[in-house]
Amino acid sequence: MSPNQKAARFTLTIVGATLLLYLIAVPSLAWIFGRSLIEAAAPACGVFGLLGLTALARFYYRPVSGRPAMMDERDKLIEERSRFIGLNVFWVVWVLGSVAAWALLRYAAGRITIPVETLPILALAGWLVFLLAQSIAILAQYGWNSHDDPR
Amino acid sequence: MDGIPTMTPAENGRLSNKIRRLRFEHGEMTQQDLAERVGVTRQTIIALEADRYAPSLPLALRVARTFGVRVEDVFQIKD
Repeated sequence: MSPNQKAARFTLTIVGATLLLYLIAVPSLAWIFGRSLIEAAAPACGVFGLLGLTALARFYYRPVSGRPAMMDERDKLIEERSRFIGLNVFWVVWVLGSVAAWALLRYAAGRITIPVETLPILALAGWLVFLLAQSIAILAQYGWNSHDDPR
Repeated sequence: MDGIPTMTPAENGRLSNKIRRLRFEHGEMTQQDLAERVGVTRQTIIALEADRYAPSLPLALRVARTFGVRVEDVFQIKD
């Protein structure tokens, strides 16, 4: 398995665990502090700090016994394309998310501007989507089950 | 960013190759042996043989040189 695949699987695990913890944190905080689920949703975003662990994925690219990790032209092509896909998905989500947040607040809550607290949440969501899209793109390009034909 | 690179995975099966046959004709060379000789991973050789990846020109030349044949004898493209 290439370093790209290992890093993508690691990233997906961290992202999955973060989302799961968020879903657990919202009702937990609401119950502990006696607030509504909507009120607990924003402070529960603290668990997104775990996304910082995704930086450890670079560990898979470390030199092994003095030799650099084996990354040939196909690995580099897949890495580059996946970053490209991730960035494009990020921008779509960022723009759509910003417009949707504005539209929701404008028509549902009668507000003209987006509250500043929305921006970090949008940034986190965008980063999450970038990581998800990039990792899924990497795994998809290698093929979900890497063939290991012994011939 | 320069956008998507020009190298692409084999385009809808238009590119084919005889790497597997050539390996067997050269002393049943393993995929790992070939990978080491041309400087790529075994996964890339597997992808090449399955027509799931179009190699760069330097890689195609290295593969052909390993088997002592011309590039056209290894890789073919359907019109």
